[in-house]
Amino acid sequence: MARVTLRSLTKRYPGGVTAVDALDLEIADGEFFALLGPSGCGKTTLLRTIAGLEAATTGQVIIDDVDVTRLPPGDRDIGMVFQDYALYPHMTVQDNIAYPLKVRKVNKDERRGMAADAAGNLQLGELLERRPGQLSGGQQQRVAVARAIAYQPRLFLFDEPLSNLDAQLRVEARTFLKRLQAEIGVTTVYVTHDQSEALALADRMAVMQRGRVRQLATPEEVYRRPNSLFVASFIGSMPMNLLDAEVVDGALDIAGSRLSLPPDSAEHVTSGDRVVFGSRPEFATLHDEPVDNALEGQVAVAELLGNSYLLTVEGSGLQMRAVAAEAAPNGTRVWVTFDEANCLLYRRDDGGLVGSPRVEGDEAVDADAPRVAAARQ
Amino acid sequence: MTAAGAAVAPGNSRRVVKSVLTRIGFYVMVLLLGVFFALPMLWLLAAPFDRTPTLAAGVPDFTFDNFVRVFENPFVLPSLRNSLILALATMVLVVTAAALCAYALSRVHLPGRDILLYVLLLFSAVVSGTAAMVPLFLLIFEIGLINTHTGVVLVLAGGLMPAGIFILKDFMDSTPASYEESARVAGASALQTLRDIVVPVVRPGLAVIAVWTVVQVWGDFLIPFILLRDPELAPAAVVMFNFYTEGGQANLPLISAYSFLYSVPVVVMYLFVNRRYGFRFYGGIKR
Amino acid sequence: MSPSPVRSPAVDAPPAPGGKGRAREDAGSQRSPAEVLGVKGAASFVAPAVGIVGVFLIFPALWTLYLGITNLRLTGLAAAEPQVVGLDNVTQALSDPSFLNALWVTAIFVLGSAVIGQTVLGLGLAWLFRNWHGWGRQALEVLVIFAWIIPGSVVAFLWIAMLDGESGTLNALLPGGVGIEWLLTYPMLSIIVFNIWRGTAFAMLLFGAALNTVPPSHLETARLAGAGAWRQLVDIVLPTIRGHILTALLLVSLWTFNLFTPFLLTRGGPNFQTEVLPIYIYRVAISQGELGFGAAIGAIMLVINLAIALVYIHVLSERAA
Ligand SMILES: Nc1ncnc2c1ncn2[C@@H]1O[C@H](COP(=O)(O)OP(=O)(O)OP(=O)(O)O)[C@@H](O)[C@H]1O
Ligand SMILES: [Mg+2]
Repeated sequence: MARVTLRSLTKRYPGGVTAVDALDLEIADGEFFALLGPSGCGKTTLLRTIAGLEAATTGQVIIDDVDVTRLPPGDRDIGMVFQDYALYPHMTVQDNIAYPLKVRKVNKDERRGMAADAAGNLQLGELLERRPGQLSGGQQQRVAVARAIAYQPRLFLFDEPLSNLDAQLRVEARTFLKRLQAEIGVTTVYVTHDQSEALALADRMAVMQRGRVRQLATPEEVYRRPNSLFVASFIGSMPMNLLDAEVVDGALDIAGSRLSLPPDSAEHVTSGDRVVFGSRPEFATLHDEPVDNALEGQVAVAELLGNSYLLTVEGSGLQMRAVAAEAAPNGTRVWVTFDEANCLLYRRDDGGLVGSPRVEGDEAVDADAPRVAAARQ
Repeated sequence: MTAAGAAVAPGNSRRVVKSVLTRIGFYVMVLLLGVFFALPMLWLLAAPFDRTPTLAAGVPDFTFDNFVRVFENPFVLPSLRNSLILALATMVLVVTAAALCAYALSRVHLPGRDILLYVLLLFSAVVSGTAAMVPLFLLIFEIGLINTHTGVVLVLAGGLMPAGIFILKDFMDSTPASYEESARVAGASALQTLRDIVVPVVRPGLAVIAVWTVVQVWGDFLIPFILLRDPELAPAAVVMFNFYTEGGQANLPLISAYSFLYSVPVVVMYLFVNRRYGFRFYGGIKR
Repeated sequence: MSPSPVRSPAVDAPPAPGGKGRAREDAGSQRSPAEVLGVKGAASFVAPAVGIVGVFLIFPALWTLYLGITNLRLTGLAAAEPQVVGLDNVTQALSDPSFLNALWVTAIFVLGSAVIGQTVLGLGLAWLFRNWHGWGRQALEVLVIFAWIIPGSVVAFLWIAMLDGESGTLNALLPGGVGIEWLLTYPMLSIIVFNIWRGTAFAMLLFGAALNTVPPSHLETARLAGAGAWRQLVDIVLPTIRGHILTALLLVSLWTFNLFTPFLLTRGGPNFQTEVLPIYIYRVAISQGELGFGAAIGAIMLVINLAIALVYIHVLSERAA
């Protein structure tokens, strides 16, 4: 088992791209840790730097209190599953799983036993004599996992291992992976750009942007209290409602309507502050007659989600989404209220959560926040 | 209705006539092409098995005698052996050196890599054995390799190497680096990775280059012709030429059986490659 | 769980001040663990191939250019101490009727057998084969490819036998029993037809691959509009495979220009009528020993090759872009 510590880890590619930027991170022993972020934010680079496939430009990778920054990948005792699985096409499933053991000079009988165990664990017993080319995508994925666990490394690294599977298989494989990790308890770093995967799997997760960690928390925390506009707009299968607002006399002014301040942000704002009001569609309620603390609009689109509907409401230049038990005909006048306990306020200037400390000298946030906010409205 | 029907009928028959004519034209053309390409080859199939071969191809008076007698000639076996030595030595040299080079160029971003590739492409296209005949001759003479197989092998390898590098680099580029990376994460050394993963994965590419080199060297005439003086060292290409340009009556039983023996290996290799890998096309692989 | 194979010293304390700087120094001074080979290793992998190519391909080419301006001879005084004679060799060549003859013969040979013969016939065969998958196609294709891969000295003799005046197969087939000595009466025509036969496979394979790149939907659109096979070829196919045609033209010309194989049929004769430049160089430099002059002709060939190759590389990079 292993604890992973990254100390101001930086990876700059020869072309000048800084893919990982002075990153500090602590991953606990046995933890299932997810790295989430948009394409190109440096997740793969970070993972490969931990594995030793990329050399860190500066900073340290420490595993179990040992600095492994300059160690070759093979000496780090890591198991890795690649996005394309990297199953050797010329070897059978059995030989694929046993290859790392062979490299580690495990003798042949022992090797077969361990490979068979790992294969059995992943329900691959029938397929040992096949070649990777004769396997389905889901089976290939399991062989890749089996190969990584067969030699019992102290750390697993996964780079989008499910992205090549179709939607249904992906959910199955996800459950399977989570159970497997819980059983063998090996520290796992899991890269994905699919937020639902990260929320479903991780004990803790880091949301990355441009080589930096934007939020480091449990999935619940990231989902309920995204700490910046960037994270707020990135997380959740339905986009969060993000509305430009101004603090006026202890209340919020949103396009002329009044909303009361969320209780825990009230003390951090003063009159005249320009903020962004955020609330998830599932915490919005529709009323068919005027109520206090509501934004008025007309139903523009109704989409069936399964056992509920996602309604898009437009009015006074605003667009809001709300989950409702029943659909309403287009054009219906409605009043939208938001569950106060689940409303958040963000500073319009740097995109940070109201009440959270400002990030010093971080232009990335300044530059991005208004754009993200604007894009969401 | 009737008018339309009447109008359609002649059109139809005209179309039928036209398509029949097209068919006939097609078959005539194919037949002519077939005759053109087959005609010179007939002799190679018939004469070796004819009791009294002439220059004309005809139905043979069947016998294997020519093949028994051909080995009585003192040049036949040594020349085929020489061809084999040259082909195999060049093949080993080209496959090994080109594979190592292609691997490094594909996986490591060496400074000056693109310039190197450009120079290789340019010179491999520009320099031919004929245009550089004089300096090749002088170079091999000066370094004391004139009249040796080594000299021929080195010159041939130099000419075949760039194409080998390009084709193998294509193969390596299209092989995901994650194969090697996963082996390295598992702890394999560079050499183990090369032996266990890279070589088996690019084996089709290596086989293509190997076969291609052998076919090239097997048939090459000019380089051994100018670099080897000693008839004992001459490969089959040169000996064949000597057989039919020697003064006097051409010894047709000998020449026909020898031609056949000398041609069979490349035909077999073609069939092998075609079956095993499909005769895939690599731009400019044959020169 | 297997014991950790890690070797480096434990770091318990927080990184010392300046740790960052040290790490950067390390990255510069030692091979990164991330690279399998490192630059030095890669260079040692590249070295053998580049060495062989450098010595036996690139160096001779450059040397040709140098030798071309000397009066080096195979024997005698000029063999020991060659003098630099500048462009004398080139001027001498340009006023030498036998060189001009070789240049003219080569031009006709390249134009007839490569530019027209192999390219047109190769395209025709590829077009015939495009939707034809029967045994006839396979047989014809294999014949064309065999003509290409059977050793040159064998196919040369096959043609000598076929074209023989007294008992060749060709005369036997022709009505009237005419005893034409084809190689003596029509030597140029003979080597051109021979080389078309010998080398069409390349153009055929190239165009076969090219025709596969023509989207079937384009041809179907044309067919729906009522275009026949000829119109489809001219209006759709040829414009689409323009790049391939240029490639084939350039490569086939380049190779044919440097081809020594006619030597195996005619040795340049009769009366120098088939003495293409490669044979001319061989006669002048190797047979007659005028190495400097031979090299000068070689240098002229190299320059012509270079011109064709540069166009070719330009076409390649255009197509890649
Ligand atoms: N070998 C490389 N050389 C130069 N730049 C690179 C290299 N690999 C990645 N980059 C750059 O580094 C940044 C981070 O890339 P990385 O692959 O880590 O992103 P990612 O988060 O994994 O994205 P994705 O979700 O698309 O896989 C990108 O801007 C990318 O263009
Ligand atoms: Mg990635």
